[in-house]
Amino acid sequence: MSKVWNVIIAGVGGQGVVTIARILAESALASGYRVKTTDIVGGAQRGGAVLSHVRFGDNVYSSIVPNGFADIVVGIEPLEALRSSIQYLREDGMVIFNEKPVYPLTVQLKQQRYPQLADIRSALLTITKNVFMLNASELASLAGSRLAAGSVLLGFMKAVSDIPIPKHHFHAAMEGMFTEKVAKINIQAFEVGFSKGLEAIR
Amino acid sequence: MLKNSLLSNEKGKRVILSGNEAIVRGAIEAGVKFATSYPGNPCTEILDTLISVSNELGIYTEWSINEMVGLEAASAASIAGLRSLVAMKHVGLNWALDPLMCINLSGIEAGMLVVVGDDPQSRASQNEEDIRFLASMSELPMMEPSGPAEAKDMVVWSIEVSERIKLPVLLRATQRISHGLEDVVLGEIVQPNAKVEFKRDERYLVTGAGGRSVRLHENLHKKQELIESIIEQSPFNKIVKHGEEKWGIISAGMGYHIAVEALEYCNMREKFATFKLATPHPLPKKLLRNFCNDLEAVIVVEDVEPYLQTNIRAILAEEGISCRAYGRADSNPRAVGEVTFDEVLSMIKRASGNEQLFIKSERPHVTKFKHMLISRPLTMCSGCPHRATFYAMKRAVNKTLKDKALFCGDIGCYSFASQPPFQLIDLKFSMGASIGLACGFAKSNIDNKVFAIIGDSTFFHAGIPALINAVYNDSRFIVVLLDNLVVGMTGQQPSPSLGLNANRTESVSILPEGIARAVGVKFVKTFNPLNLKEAERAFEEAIGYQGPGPAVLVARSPCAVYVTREAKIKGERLHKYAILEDKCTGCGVCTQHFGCPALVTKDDNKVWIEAEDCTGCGVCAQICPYRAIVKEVS
Repeated sequence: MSKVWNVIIAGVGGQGVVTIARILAESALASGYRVKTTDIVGGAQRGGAVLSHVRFGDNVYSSIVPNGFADIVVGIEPLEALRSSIQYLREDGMVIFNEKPVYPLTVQLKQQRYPQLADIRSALLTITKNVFMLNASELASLAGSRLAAGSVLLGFMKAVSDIPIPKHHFHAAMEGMFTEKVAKINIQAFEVGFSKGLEAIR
Repeated sequence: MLKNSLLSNEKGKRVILSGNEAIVRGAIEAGVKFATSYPGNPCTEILDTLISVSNELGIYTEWSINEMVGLEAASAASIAGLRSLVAMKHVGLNWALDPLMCINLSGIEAGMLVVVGDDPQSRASQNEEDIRFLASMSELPMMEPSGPAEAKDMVVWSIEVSERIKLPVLLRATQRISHGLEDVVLGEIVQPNAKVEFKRDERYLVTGAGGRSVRLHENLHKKQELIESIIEQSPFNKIVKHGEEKWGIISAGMGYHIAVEALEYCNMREKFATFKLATPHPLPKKLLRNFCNDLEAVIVVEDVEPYLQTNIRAILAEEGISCRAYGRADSNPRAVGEVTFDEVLSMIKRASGNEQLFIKSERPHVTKFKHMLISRPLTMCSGCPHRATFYAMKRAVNKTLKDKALFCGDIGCYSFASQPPFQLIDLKFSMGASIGLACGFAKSNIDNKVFAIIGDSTFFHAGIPALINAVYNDSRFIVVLLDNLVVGMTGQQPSPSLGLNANRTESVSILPEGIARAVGVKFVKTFNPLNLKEAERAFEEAIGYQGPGPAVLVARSPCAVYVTREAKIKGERLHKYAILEDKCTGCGVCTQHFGCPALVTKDDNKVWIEAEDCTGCGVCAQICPYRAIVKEVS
């Protein structure tokens, strides 16, 4: 079986998880691959976890990444990065996540405690040594909107992984999906993430 | 990009579409001219997407008041000669089953497709069920795609078949299909020559009188032979078999791909014959017989119930074939939910007797971190007017009734009031059930004040007959009608109170309080929940109302997401609120008792407002005991 790339995008409602998955899917198609994705969006916009599976390659079977099969987990939120990695990330896979938490309401109500970032990081390190944490929200704000955090992470992923999709296909997908203004912000955010990624592996 | 793909005439072009979008493209290729739906996950986006191209293509699109009316309207269009589509979630077909059980007898004229979005695992539904049983009950063909690309082709094929057999065809699309993306090859768009007319025919008068409905039922049975032969020939059932295999896998939907991948994973592809079964009803008996005839055992991979497995067992027994059929019926209690890769691996293990197969998810060194995964309960959005309603309601109840209150909830965003900080929902069943339940509790002389909590769209969908029941039978309770003008949960589709149609043309605004008065409710009061004093007073008055009949409170304020989006479209700025740092004492009243996500507690327990999330509703400013929350000066 030829290589199938398994990427999980995780976050919470309103962070653009499904949009990031679609950008990746469009870019993979433009790069000549077959693509399948699946989303779990039950709680979009209401603080719930949102999860997209993106699989591409010469021949993709199910759209669902089996447990322990993900090559890359892109977490727009730390807790959700951990949740997805525990279930899906393969042993030598890679996790790239935004360090800005979105606290569940129960944390605000002091009924649950949000885990420490350092603990999330060390838990991830037991799965793989390839753990990258960055302040994607802040970098996205600098690029024009904190909502572009997912694009920052995509750019970072492009820099630090072997994902076989040329950069210009990501740009083209964003131009195709967004208005001119929003596309510009997201391409800028992607580029910021890309340079950060290059720095991280230098 | 999406609109271009949907309208494109470039036959053979490869584009990325979701299952729902692929179904829409299929409907466009088949020349569907009439489409109805009621919003509901996982298939809301079918009509949402069709609306976006309805003007260009001259397609009538309608958010129907409920799935029953949607099905009736689409069948009328088909009887009049227009190809039609109706989309609904699984529980929608429960509602529409009544007319479906007559339309299957009368038949239709132009091609008609009933898309049913099924939700194994119940990710966005009140329940999990298996809609395939309703296909065998209604004796109508049901198709099940294994991905968006196949869904598109299946829609075109099904509409043509429907027109040939003069019966609606059902298409089951599970959440994995509807909400998945895949590259899809575009086909040709046909424009059938539709002549709109009603041809009188006695088959349209479905009645038991004179034995007619039994005759029509007999006709339906006679049609089954034709349907079965079409199903046997369908291009979507796919068998891969070399003749050397001892075992086989039969599967439907996404389960097929999971099964093939599992076989590849454990190097068993050559050992198992595979059957992608795309026609859950009627089953292709001949194909199944030929497939199983020389196999020792087959594994049946399917979501939710062992529908295929039990039917296949019956076929094998009938034909005297010794092949065993393994599946979910073998476990006790039976498995529920979606089928998984690991489940298929263990089935392969069992059938092949290969105990060496390694199951990936058994990773104790990883799963030991699960305790860190705190839950993320759904909550109402920032600025949601429902939160204000519940805050006022809780205060009024605490003041007057204390724990002598019983809350019957309903389907919508307001059902999140079951969670902290409100915990105001005691029961929640199906659409409109809040009022029916309240009727029963009130008449049981229960010692609690009974509340029915229901949103505008759910009220229009299913609550009106129950309200009439309450008035007619003098049931005394309080209906709390949360009118946010849209169907909030599914993406702010317009509700009849908004006064706009599906494609945003002006319509009549139908107000729930008008309906309440018209059916004879004596206590009707409308208030703005964003004014907490007014809201609390309204609740106190309603609690004091002794009858006759129910009291109806209408809390009206538009959905916050809708407000934010409209402001963005119009380029208007929302006036945000901010915390006066020196006045905030960190008392936690706003965060602990109100819980708007825009209010964030800092390390020093003081609160700040996330400006990007604040919608400017101003309710927190009314709650703060220290007047520390103020409107920002622009």
